[in-house]
Order: sequence, then C-alpha cells, then structure tokens
Amino acid sequence: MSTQETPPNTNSPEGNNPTANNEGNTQKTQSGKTKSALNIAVSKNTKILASFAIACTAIVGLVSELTKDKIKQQEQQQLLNTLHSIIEPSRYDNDIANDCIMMSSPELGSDKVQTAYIARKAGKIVAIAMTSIAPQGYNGNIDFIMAVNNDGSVSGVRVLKHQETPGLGDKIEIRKSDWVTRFSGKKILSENDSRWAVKKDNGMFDQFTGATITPRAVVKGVKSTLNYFTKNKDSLLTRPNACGEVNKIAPSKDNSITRSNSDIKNEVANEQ
Amino acid sequence: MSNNTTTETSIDSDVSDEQINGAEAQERAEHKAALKAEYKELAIQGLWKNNPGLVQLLGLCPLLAVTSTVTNAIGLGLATLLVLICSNVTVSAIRHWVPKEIRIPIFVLIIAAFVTCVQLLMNAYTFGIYQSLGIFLPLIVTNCVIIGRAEAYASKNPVKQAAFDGLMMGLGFALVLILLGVIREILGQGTLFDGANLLLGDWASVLRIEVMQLDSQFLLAILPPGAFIAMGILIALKNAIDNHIKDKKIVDNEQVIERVRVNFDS
Repeated sequence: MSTQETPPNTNSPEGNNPTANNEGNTQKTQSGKTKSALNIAVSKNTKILASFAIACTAIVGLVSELTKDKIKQQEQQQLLNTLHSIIEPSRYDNDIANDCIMMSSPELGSDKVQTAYIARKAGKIVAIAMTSIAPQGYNGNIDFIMAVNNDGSVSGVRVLKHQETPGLGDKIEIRKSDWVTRFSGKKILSENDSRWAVKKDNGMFDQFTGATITPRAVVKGVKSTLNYFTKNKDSLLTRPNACGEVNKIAPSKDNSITRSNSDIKNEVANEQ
Repeated sequence: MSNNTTTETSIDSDVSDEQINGAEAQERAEHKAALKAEYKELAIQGLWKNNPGLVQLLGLCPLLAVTSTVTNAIGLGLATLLVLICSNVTVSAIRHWVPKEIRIPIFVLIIAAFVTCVQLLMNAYTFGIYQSLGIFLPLIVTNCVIIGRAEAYASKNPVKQAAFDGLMMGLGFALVLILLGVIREILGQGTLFDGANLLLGDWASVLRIEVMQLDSQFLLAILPPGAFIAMGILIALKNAIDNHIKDKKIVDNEQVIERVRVNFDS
C-alpha cells in the first residue's frame, strides 16, 4: 500500500522515507499533505476491508447458526447408524449415543482419548461400543469402533476412517466387503490368543489378495482393544456418564418422564 | 461494458422526437445483439475454448483427487459451480466500491465465506457426500478458477454477465469432473452412479448401473495416476478436435482466396 503512494514523498525536500512521515506528526510541508492524503486512503481502505470482513463473518455465522442443529442431528444419526450395525437395536433400550464414557490407553492404539458407548437394557449393561485405533495400517492409522458383549465376545466391528489403498486394503470397509463381519461372535481366550491373527500368520482371519498388512493391522487392533476391555471391564463399566451436554439435557428428560409417571399414578388413583 | 450502461440510462429518459426514437431503437437492437454475442462468447469460452479444467488447467488438485466416482464428481462440481456463481455475482455487485489496492483480500474473503457456507449446507443436508469429499470441499477456496474469474471477468462486468460467466465456467469445470468420473468409475469398478444415494437421497440408489462385471478392480483407474492419464487423454482429444476444426477452416479459406484470384485475373 504505502509503496504505491510514495513517489510524491521522495520528491520532498526533507527526503524522509514514508514510514518516518507516517510517524511524524508536526510536518507542515508538502510531504505532510501527501501524508494526510495517504492516511485518508489507508484508513478508507481499512474501513472498507473491515466492513467486508464483518459482513462475511456475519453471513458465515448466520449460516452456521441455521445449519447447526441439522448438522448435529446428522452426526448423531450417523453415530446411531454405526452403533445399530454393531449392536442390534432390539438389544438395548437406552439413549446409547448419549450414554458414554471416556478412556485412554496405549492399548487403544494411541494416547488419544477414546469414547465408549454403553448399551443397556432395563438399566443392565448389555454391550459396550468402543472407538479405537489400529496404528499399523499400510497407510497410517485405521479408526474403528467395536462392540463387545457383556460376556466378552465381539458383537461387531466397523472401520470408521482409514487411508488404505483403494481396491486392495479398503475391503475392510463394510461397503466393499463383508470381511469385517467375521469378528462377530469371536471371543478371546487368553491375552496372547494365537488364533487372533490372519491366516498367513496361522490365525483364523482371512487376509486379502494383495493386501495382508491392512487386515493384520485391524486384527491386531481389535485384539488389543478386546484385551483392554477384558482387563479393565469392571472399572470401565462403573465410570460415570461423560457425554457432557447430555448431563444438561438428561435431567429435564428424566423429570418429564417422572412427571408423566406420577401423572398416570394420580389418574389411576382418581379412577379408583 | 460501462458504455452500454450509459446508453441504457439515456434510453430510459423521455424523448419525444421520433427520429431519435428510431435511432435509439436501432441502438437498443445493436445493444441487444452485442449482449447476445457476449453471452454466446461466454458460453463458448467457459465450456470449450477456455475450459477451466482442460485448457486453463486450474483446480487440478480436486479434479484429480475426487473423480474416482461419478457421484463424487457431481458433488464437487455442483459445489464449485455454486461458489463460482455466488462469488462472481457478489464481486460484480460490489465492483464500484472496492478500491483496486485491496480487491484481492476482499475477493478472497468473499470466496472463503461462500465456501464455508456451502460446506456447512452440504454437511447439514448431504452428509454422506460431505464425508466422501472430505478435505477437497474446503479446498475449493484455493481453486484458482474462482479467484481467476473474479479478477479477470466479474470485477469488470455487470452482474448478469458475471453470473452467466460463473455458470458457464462452473459448468465447464463440472463437465470435465463428471467425464473423468465416468471414465474412472467404469474402468475401475465397472459401475456408474455408485453411491448416488449419498448425494441425492435414498431414491437415487436405483440410479446405480452395473456397466460390466469385474472380478477385481482395475486399480490404476481408481488411483491418482489413472486420473492423470485419463486427464491427459481428454486434453489430447480436445486438442485433436480443435486441430481438426482449424484444418477444415484453413481449407475453406484457401478455396475462397483462389476464387478471388481467378476473378482478379479475369
């Protein structure tokens, strides 16, 4: 900006550089005049730019506000769909997406905090769906979610995110192949259960033609997560609900339920 | 174009003289014809001569990355089209108030705002496609086609033309995306419109066509190198067609010249 409007300044007798002029306040010469012109131009442009920035931010803010609920709903729906696919919806009756605990352990693939969703039927724990990471994928981390039944058997596994080779390693996605369903119903007998490996390593899981590293990584990740669960089952299942926002919503829901229950009781009493 | 607007205002003012009316009618007709020619030129430029994908080679990163299926290609094409039209219209509407020194940051601001809006809307209403486009949706901000059109055309022309230019450039880009998507999806997976329900809703799953049954996927077509090769072939095809047209024209011209010579000699 300033470089574009400097030429008049360089002709001035003082020969000051423009930045010096900008800082000096008491000059009454020609350069002083150009300085004020430059100041006006700069401040005008600043104002225009600022008002555009404000307008753009306002528009983005508005759209974000309008779509916020819908996006939340979509994400929740997505999560529910995934959870439904690994735990039969008929097996639980609680609001599973809002009943979760946080956990962190190297056995879950990284030092990230992972979430686990708890499925209950009539208050009793049926299964737990844990997000976890298989760190040894062919091309980085493989994020997955796995559900474990109360008896320690696997209820289902789904891969959430990965960067495996399209056409080879991506058969771990349920969209491409049903490979990932082979985990269902499997149990781990000991911490180093040798059956938990791909067939190439004398295990019980198939590998893919042209891709062994990816299924190996997934099997290892699932095994390690399952081990983590068996070891820490008791402490995990007694942790308090950690879904932050839910704690605010849940009480009001409970109130409405209890209120309606008491209403019904009152009605029954009146009838009698 | 500013001349056109001044003539328009003079047309609007009341003039009783018939002669001037006649002249103005003619002027108006000329103006209309000029506009028509302008629109035609814009369409040709956007769709063929100056196609952002095939000729300008702008925005190649999303072009090559997301065209592994037709659905993805359509999703990104539509998003880019929408952003391009909106940014062109806005840039054109504000062109008199934006000083030339700060025009670039303002354009970038506008484009970024629109892209963020489109991203939020897609996240809300087409969640599946939003996930499969991933990082390439916000990357539309850096697509040079958009700032290129804002700077080269929209900032100097009226709103209507700018909108039309955005539409044509966006269509040109989207068509190349879709074409690449078709080629890569057929070669790679043997299907068409796989996953269209992510973009258009559940009814669209009937759109899926099994073009040919492949025992294993043709990896090259799915991976980025396949995109480069297909893109290269498309560009070569376009150049071949252009050369063919040019040759034809030259032959025509030569014939005309010969006739002129004959006339001159006689």
